Amino acid sequence: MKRIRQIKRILFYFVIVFFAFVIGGCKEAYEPAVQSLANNYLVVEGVLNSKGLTIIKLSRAVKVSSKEIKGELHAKVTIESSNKTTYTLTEKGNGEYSAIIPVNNNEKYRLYIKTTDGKEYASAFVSPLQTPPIDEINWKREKDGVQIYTNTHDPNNNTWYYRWEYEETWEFVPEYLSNLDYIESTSRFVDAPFTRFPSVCWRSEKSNVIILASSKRLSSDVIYLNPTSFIPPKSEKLSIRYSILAKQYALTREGFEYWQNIKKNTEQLGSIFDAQPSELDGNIRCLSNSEELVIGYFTACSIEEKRIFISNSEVPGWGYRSDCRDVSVKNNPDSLSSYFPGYIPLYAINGGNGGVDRYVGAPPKCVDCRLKGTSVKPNFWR
Amino acid sequence: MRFLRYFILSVLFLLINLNLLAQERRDSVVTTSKKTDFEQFIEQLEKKSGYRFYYNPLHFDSLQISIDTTQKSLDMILNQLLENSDYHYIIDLQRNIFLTKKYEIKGLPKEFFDDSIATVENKEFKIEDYLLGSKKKEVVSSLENKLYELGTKQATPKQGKAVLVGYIREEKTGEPVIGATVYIENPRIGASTDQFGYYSIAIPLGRNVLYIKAIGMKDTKRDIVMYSDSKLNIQLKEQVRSLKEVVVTADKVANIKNVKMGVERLSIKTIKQVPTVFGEADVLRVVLTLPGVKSVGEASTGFNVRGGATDQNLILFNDATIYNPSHFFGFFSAFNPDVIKDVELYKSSIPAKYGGRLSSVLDVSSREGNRKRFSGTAGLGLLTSRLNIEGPIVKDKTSFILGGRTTYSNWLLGLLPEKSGYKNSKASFYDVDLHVAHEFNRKNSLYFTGYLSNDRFNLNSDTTYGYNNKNVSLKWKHSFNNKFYGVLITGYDGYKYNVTSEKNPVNAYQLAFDINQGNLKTNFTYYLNSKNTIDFGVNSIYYKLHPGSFKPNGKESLVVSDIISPEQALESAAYIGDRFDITSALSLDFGIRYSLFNYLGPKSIYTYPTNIPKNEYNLLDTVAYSTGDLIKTYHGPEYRLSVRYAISNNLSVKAGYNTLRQYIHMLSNTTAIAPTDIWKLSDLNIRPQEGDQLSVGVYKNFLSNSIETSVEAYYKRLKNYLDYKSGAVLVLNHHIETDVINTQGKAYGLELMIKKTTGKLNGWMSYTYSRILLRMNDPLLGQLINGGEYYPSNYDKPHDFTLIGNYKFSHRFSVSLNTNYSTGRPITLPIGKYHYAGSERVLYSDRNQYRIPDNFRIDFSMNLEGNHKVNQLTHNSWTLGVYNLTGRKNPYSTYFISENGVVKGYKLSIFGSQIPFINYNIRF
Repeated sequence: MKRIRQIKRILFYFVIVFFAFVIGGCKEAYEPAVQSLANNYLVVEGVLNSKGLTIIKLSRAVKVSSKEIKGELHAKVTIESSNKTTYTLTEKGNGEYSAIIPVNNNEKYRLYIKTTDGKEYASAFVSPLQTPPIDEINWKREKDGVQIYTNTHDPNNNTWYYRWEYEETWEFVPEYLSNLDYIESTSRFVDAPFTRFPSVCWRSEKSNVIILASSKRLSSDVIYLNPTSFIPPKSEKLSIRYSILAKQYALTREGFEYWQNIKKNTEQLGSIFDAQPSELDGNIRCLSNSEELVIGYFTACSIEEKRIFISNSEVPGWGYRSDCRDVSVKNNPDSLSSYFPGYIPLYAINGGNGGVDRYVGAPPKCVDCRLKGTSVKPNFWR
Repeated sequence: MRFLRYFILSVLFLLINLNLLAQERRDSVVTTSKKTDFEQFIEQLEKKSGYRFYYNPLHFDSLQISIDTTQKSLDMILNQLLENSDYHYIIDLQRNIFLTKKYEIKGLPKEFFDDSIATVENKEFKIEDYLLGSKKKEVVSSLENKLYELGTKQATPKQGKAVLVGYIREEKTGEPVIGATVYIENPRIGASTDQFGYYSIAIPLGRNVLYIKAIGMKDTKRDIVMYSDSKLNIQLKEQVRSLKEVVVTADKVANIKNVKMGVERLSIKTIKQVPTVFGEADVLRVVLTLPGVKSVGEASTGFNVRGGATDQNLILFNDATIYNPSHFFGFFSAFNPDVIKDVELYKSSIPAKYGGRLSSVLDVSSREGNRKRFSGTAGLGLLTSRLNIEGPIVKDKTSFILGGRTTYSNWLLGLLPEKSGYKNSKASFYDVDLHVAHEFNRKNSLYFTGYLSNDRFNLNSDTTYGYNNKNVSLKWKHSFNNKFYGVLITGYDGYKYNVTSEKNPVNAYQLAFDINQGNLKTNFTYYLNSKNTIDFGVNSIYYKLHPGSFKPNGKESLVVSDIISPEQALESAAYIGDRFDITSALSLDFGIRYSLFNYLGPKSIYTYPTNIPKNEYNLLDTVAYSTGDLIKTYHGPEYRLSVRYAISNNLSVKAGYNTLRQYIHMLSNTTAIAPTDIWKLSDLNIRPQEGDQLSVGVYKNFLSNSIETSVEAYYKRLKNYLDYKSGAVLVLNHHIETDVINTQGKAYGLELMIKKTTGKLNGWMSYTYSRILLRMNDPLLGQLINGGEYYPSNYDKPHDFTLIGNYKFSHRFSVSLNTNYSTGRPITLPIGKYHYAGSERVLYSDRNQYRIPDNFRIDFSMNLEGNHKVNQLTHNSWTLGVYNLTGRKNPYSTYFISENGVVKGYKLSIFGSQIPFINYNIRF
């Protein structure tokens, strides 16, 4: 009997220990010691847009430890058609080159680049693809957040491979209003109007993930409910009103495979059954050295866009809560100097004797919404 | 005439005997003990003097010896010992001493000392009056000090040798003992039992002492007199250490005597001692601790033997081929430990009877079930439970064993960290085993095996994966005569997986893949004479693979069915091998296997121009073949050779050379075996893999063979090993040949091992240095990998150290430790980063040029047994322990991923902390 009790105690102890240990994390940040130099490869990103502005971005690959990736400046960037017409793109700075190019869907086009080091690069000739319009962008509450989907179809059953980018914009308001200002030169607080800071702002973010889908395995060219973006639960994005602009690109099969490989290499790792990362060649070559790796795949298509709005009232119980906290500081020079001018004063609390007992302040980003976005209402906002 | 012979012999005997006894007086015997048990004392005497003692232990069990025997001759000791007692002794010509109580043997029968024995009447020796046991028609010998007369006596004595055959079984359950060594000392002749517990040994006619040794069993010996070819079944007792502790220093000489190299046998007892992650004894996890066997990481199905890929292991479960030997992402092996008897891994000398895989054969044998009474076991663990029952259907004739296992692991997955991506996953598995053995008569036995394992899991997504193994095999063993027996095996082996997705009604699909194979094998063993044992046979496998079908799931699904037409092939082989004992020191094991592979229609095959990379743009033609057409035939010989030279009783050197061919390939571009990896048969465009291996080894035993040491070195070449191209699509690919490339490989290594098999402390320690390098340097085949240079494969882990130790504090309490250190596996690290599609992204270059950090782990477990009273209803035991005792976060992989626009590096560990476990086992 005693032995059984003993064993029971051991068992209990083990279960406790088990729970205590297993919950420890399995994934931690890691910086490998060895890293070789990137060969300064040219990176070319962009699509010949047959329905608007064509933007080509040039940059260089850098070491993994580098802090910054700079655009490739002062290159000569042109688009050549198969009947030898050349269109030059103008440099917009930071490695961006753009132009509106009249595209004839019956011709083929290639991208030509000459960098300042004298090297010439050219893509293969590509045929412009006709991207079908986006049928619908819709959304569902999922896992407490909002999942946004895209539907499209090609009635001609001719596209099969798709890629999307998106730009999210949302309206938000500052957490705190301020009617005080702190004058640094005199170390004094003065009254200021609430209108000193805008009462509403908009913030925009571009997609940073690769979104792809193919209908190749289906009987008709239909993309139904393709996950496009996910708004995490309680996110500021839906604190008032949210909008997403989806851009749809048609791809060739080879282009699709190239994009899919990049996605696998850079977004879909970390599982138990990881595919081994490996590089695929794109369709851009260095003319003087065909062995030189050029990152990027040049395609031509019309870019289709669609925008939707979602209001906070459509997602009941969203429960946005900011991480902004105000502080109440005792009115003496030592205490005040540790918060001001770093913080923006909100209001004063008077003491019993008529003087100011405390000043309440908040971090600037909680008061001035322009630090996170713009107070200029975007022209598409409605 | 007869009388005269008697007379002369008797006189001769007397003369010799007197002379012998006179000599004996000068022999001195040195023993140091002053007060000992009689039995121990006699053992010492036997050892020192070289005489054998015969007595009834019952008569002597209360006798305490107190005698100073230093520098005394044997007869002085005996005289002193038995003086003034009612004990008597007599010594014969064969250096046997008979001790009796009360009755004195006044001269043994004359024929007792007659070397020819031809004239002995068919009656038992008088001395047997003092021994237990009775003589049966078919001799079942369970006593050591009984003399067995075997065979038919003939009027005239025969010279030469005769064949002794029989089964060696466990006394309690009647199960066969596999791999038991049966040998005589002078001249040194040995044999070992096969998978049925059957042995055959050719020994000189006349008097012999037959020694029988097997792991986990008490060593025993039999005194026999051979008259002609005969049969002797032997029952072995399980080695149960008494509370008083007997130090067993048996000479386990298998490693020295076996001609084959690189063979590792693990009994389920050993397997159960090694701590594993969730406390459940795991065959594959223990195989992974053997030198030369590696895996890519903790959660990985499959193993790599001496640089071979995971698909180059032939995994046999009672002769059925198991394609996926794991459950639950590789955390559990698919073999139920309660049903398994032992496993044998051939990593170098692969017998000619096996073929079809390049690297190794893992032969897993189940038990046959208790032939005497019904019993069972049950086990409860934190994640799994298992139950098995066994017993006789017809006592001593037919037995069965039925085992099952299942899991309730979903709660564990719920505990996984959110970031692991598997938090809301579900996983379940089960497996069922049924084995039936039936003995029709002495010449015919039938064995049935049925096996089913099933896995289903959903990794936090809308996609459900499932896979299962199904195997049925029927084995008929027939003994033609004492020297010749054959086994006929037929069976079906199946493996399939399916992937289903239901969430999006338009894209909902079912993806399925399966392998089916029918086997027909015949294996014959012929004991030609004392020097030669010949194995030969013909094997055939018919394959039918469904390489992939993709179908709509549900009415709304727009998925177009995409079915890759099935593949079929016939793989046949004929083999012959001989184990040839040239002298007692030099033995040769050689064989040849000729394999023939026919890829059969119906099938449409793409053809490509030669000497340019195969891709879909330069596809030449599609050739349609109809049913029964031979699309492509590959064939070739495979050589198996090993040589052993025993320098002394405990030192031998061996060398071996092997060639192998493989016609079925697993295609994978993931590091570990993934549930969606497919198998592909060799065809017009995909050549068979070929490999050869040269190995040498030195084996030395110490301390009465209780410590075995070995050094083995090998060099291996691989040809046509399939690697994938960058961006390869392997699932549902109608022209898979365009996405794979043939590579060459070379592997070499050195394996050191020290093993202690007996005693309170047992276990092994091994160190392996090994490399496996692959090369793709033919630009005609496609883009070169790493510029055509050799690159390390995914499982190239040069240094590996393993220590497995078990210490028995008492009969009821033991502790085990498993320590492992290994070099981190190679990975492909980024050489740079760039900005694309709104985010920083990493750029990879050459494959496998870096390594993840090294791996180190200690596991610890304790076994607590309940009391050992024989008559209680159930016997209980507890296993508890901790996996990864130091809590080291051993990396499974390191990877870089783009998150919120920037690149982040991570190290992923499967078990980032200590994992305690507990198991409760019941035996009834």
